[in-house]
Amino acid sequence: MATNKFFKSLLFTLTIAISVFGFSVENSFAYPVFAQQNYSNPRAANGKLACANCHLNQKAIEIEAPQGVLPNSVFEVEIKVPYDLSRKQIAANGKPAGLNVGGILILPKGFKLASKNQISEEVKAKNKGVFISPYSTEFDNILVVGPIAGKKHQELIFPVVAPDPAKDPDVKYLTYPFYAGGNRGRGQVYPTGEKSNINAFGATQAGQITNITTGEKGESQITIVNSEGNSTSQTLSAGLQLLVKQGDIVKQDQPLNIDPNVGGFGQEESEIVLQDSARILGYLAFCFCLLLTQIFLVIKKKQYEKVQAAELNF
Amino acid sequence: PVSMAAAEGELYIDQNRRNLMNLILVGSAAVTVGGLAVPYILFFLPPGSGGGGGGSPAKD
Repeated sequence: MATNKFFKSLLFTLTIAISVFGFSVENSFAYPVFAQQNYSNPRAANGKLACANCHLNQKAIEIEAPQGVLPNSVFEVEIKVPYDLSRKQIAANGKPAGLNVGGILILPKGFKLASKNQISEEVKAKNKGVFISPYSTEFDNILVVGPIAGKKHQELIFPVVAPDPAKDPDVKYLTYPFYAGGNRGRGQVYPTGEKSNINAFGATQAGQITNITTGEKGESQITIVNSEGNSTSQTLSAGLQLLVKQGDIVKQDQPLNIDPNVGGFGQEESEIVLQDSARILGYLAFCFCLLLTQIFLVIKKKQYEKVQAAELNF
Repeated sequence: PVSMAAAEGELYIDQNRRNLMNLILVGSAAVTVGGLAVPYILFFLPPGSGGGGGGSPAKD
């Protein structure tokens, strides 16, 4: 447990270091870890998932889950995170990179991640190399996954085990809502509050662009002089396509580059019934009785019709 | 009439048969209605308080 925590913290530090300082070429991740560190509960009171605070673009996802499950049964919830595989985003160093995907699944209380020996071979094969983990020790009904390569994983499969109301008195046989979120592509805001280079950057002041220079790493320096002669200069990171050219007049906050964001976050909700098999059996038995009664009613009517036909007395 | 006599000759359903059918019908209807009525009545009985050991007596 202690070593596990140590590795986790090591992983956290590494991820942050990599993303903030931009050391890595493959820096095109979606980070559930950022949500885990900054939000004790990833779902706000209005239903918005915390991911949407930094992944500002919206793109649809789909949920595929069973309509009802029996207690203690293992089932899969699938989050589909589709996107155009031919499109590239820019990495932190400005180079084009493939997109990664990540997802979050907020299950009802009592539902948990299935243990390894409960997962079927088929799902194991599909989930090879994918590490699904609970959100925190407090919320083991919230599962996160990612970042994983979007090229291979357009579908995030969560193996889940249903709780048993017989063992856990807090769990009842009910229809439960559950929430899912999925993201592809890099975010727009770091946990520190700084913008990433996947953004449309606005002009810091109104005025005329007097100078655009390109640095050795590909970043462009834009100098704007306003009507009073004050000059500001701002740096746009490499890989961004500029919308303006030297001599242009810009307003404040007018975008200077094309928004490079090709990814996006989507959230969806659905319902799942925790079903008691005794209820289904009882219902089937009742349906059978109902069917019998209806048949007997019709037979009785046919019988009496014969009597009426014979007696001609009606 | 001739037609009526023929019908009588083919198959006349006597009172015994009609009573038997009535019984079968009432029996099956009773099961179905009971299936609805019993849970409905049970709903109005308050749930048991769990029983168990009851409250433990206060000791002074």
